[in-house]
Amino acid sequence: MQKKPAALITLDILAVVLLGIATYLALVYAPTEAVMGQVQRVFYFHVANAWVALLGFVAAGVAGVVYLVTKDRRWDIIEVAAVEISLVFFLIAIILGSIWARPIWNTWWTWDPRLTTAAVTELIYIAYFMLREGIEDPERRARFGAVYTLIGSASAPITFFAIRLFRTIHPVVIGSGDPGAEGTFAMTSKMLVAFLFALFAFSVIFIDLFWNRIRMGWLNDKVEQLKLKVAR
Amino acid sequence: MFFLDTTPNTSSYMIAGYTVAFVLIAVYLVSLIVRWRNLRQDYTVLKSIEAEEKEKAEAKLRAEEEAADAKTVKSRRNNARSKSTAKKKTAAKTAKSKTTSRKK
Repeated sequence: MQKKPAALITLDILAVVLLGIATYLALVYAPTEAVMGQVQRVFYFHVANAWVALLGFVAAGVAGVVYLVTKDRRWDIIEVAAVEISLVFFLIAIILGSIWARPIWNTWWTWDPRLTTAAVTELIYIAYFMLREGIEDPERRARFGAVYTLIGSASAPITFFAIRLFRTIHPVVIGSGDPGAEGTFAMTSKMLVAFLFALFAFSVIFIDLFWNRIRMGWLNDKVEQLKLKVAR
Repeated sequence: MFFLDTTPNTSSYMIAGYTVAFVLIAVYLVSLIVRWRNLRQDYTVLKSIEAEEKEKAEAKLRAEEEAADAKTVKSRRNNARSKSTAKKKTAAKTAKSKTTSRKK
């Protein structure tokens, strides 16, 4: 079993520091939005979490394609790691969005195109783990998982573009959105700094968690192989 | 919202949001650490079992080889013994035949 690489330890520390700075920028540095008040600060983590999660889902789809081409089990491990972390980040994004919506839209949840596609995406990837749990043969499990993530990854861009393609209540902060959207605001330079830094910080956190999770996947694979060897 | 003169107090929602985010991240981190520890434990246990089984298999092989060696040594000894007794018997026979011919 390999020791944790120094680069990963450094990345762990960097991720924690960046999370701290991003929190400071979001809660202290960025000015309070005049119409929505303090709840608008949720936006920095909400978008950063969603962005990183959607990237992870697309990455899982790519890993699935590479697995189907190469049949290399390492790509299956990478795919599972990407889906698991993205699932956590996306859940956080959905909950944060719901909390933000309560005072602004006067409801915790509405079946708006963005919210609906987001919920569907989350459910698709929860079902991915249920599917994997149901298949015992590792090769078959990896193959089914790869095909599933390949199809499932289409839900990520659909979710991302939902607010740009359909009439929606969800605001589009970057680029022009639906004029009927509730909660739209113009970003000041300080807000933009906090927002971009949160995106960067969560990208680093994602890479750090991804690396750690891949190492865990490899260890899990070794344990499974040892179990088979000992059982023989 | 558009007709409000003052900024509404939505701090509790902000606090709730950040609390949820940090708690979920912490829970995930803890789950990663716990799973990693369990896997490492499983790995060390399975490695020791594997080493034990390897040792056992090697000891068994050694014992089998030793038994086979002992068997070959025994059979060689038996062969040698039977050869020597046969020689003795033939020698005795020839000696006996010589004495009877002399008597005649």
